Amino acid sequence: MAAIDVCGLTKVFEVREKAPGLAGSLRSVISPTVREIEAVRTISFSVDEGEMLAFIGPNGAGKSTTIKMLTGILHPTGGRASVLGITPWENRQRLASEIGCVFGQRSQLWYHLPPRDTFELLANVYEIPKSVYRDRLEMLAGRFELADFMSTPVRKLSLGQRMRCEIAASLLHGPKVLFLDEPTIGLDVVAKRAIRGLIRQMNREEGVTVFLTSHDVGDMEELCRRVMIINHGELILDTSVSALRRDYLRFKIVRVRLADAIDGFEMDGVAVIKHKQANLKLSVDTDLTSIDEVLAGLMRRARIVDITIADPPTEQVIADIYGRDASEALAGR
Amino acid sequence: MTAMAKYFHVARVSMRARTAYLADFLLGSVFYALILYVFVQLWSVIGGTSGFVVEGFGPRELVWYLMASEAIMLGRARFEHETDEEVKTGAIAYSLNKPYHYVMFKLASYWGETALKMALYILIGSAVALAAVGPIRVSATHLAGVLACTVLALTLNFLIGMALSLSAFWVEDTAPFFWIYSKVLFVLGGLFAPMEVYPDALARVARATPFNYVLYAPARLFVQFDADFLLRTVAMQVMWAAVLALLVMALYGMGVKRLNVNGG
Repeated sequence: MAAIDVCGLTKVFEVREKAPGLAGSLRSVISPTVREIEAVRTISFSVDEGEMLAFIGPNGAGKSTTIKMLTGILHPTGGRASVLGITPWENRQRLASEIGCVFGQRSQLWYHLPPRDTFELLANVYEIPKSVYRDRLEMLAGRFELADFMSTPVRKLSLGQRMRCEIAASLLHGPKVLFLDEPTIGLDVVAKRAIRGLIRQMNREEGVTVFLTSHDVGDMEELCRRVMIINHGELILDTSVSALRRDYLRFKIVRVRLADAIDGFEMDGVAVIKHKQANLKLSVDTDLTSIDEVLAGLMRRARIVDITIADPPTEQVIADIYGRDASEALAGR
Repeated sequence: MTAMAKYFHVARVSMRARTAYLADFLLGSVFYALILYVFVQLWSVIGGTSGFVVEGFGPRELVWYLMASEAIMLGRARFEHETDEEVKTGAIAYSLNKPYHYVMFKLASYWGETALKMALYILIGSAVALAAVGPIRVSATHLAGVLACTVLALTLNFLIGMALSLSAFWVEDTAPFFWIYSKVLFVLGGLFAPMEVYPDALARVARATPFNYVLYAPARLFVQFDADFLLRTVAMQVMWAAVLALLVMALYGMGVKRLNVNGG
């Protein structure tokens, strides 16, 4: 059964424009110029119960607008959507107790108080019976390893600790659907891994449907089986993560610092993006050459001092998708 | 669990948050004590040289009046800037999908902080006034009436502040409104002296506005209790609160609609 069902969802924002100068200001008061921005364009999709779906796109693509419509924060301009059978913007309050939301850039924790106080407040706000709240908090505190800083004011917590508290807070009332908007933004690699592990665990153990927006390809790869990519408000891809990996993420970016400078580096499937003495930035086509082979090849030339391996940025993946669409269209002519 | 219980808890948490920086919190009361001290000196000089008494208000009554009006003025939680920011940045949108009403949440939070600050200021103010000019006559029944009037006064202050904050949906900077409001409270609210010592014309204007029900009415009742005045005041406070509540809800409704059209 679909936990989220969206059909032709559209959101157009009206933005008032003002010409420069005093005259422009006066004109904008008398006859304002309104420009329409189509943030989301007739998108349709559905998400099954218990599914973890990644909603990926660059900044300004329409991810947050979509999540805001699905959580009842914004009214759409057109189309329909239902979350657990409820139209979000018509029944915000009813939906509120069925869903959990984490907005990576907005905190629901009281900054000067320990997380325990916010949890207690949320238990009251969501009208959770005391005994249920106690059990639930104990379980979440155990899983999210919150015990050590449960009584520390939020302002003194690290970003990773704070995000663990944010997610635990959003799960306190036992939501069936969890909306995560950039949950790993600003986190270091270790904290990201921890957060991803916890989300995976809650999905596995409680069957929570997860709708995740991110511009970090790693979130999608580690958490979800299905991915949708949105750009300029349009859904440009709805596929499995494995298909996306196969088709668009086979390239890895390898940055390496060697102990000694080398003249150059050549290998099948490896393109040198930048080379300055002992520092190299390589693009590796993992279909042709594995990362192991590249590292072995480099180590034969010099000792490796430092290395990072990264996915291409979302913008690059989207550019590849468009590039492929364009070449397929040309081939089909 | 009743729906109101959640708001009661919001007030408790807000109270706790206020005491997170105990030193800052206590330091704020020093300013209050200082103002009282200055006015004690002022009224003592005026009273000592000219035997100043207007409609039952002599130096002693004026000091106690100021104790009460300043306790309200400085004890009210300053939620306006935060609300204004929430409206301007669109953060208000994130409260829409929570199982509470934004305005009620703010009111509960306001009361949590205000109750704590008021209790402290009344304690300090009473000690200063008592030491400076001695006691005034009050009874438990009178205090119950004053308390009811003060609760309504602070609710009126919240509603005026909320209406001004919500105007941020339409105007870029609401700070001048709050500056004007605080100055209006100085004069038309009767912060430093009761209407009885005002020129007639000014007193008439002040009495026609809701501002005198924020400071003057509860402070005057505290110093000179009068059952008729209490009833009249409470009736007017309820009337103004109803009008302002309607205004706040209308502004909130229109603002949220605007948010839905223009985004967060």
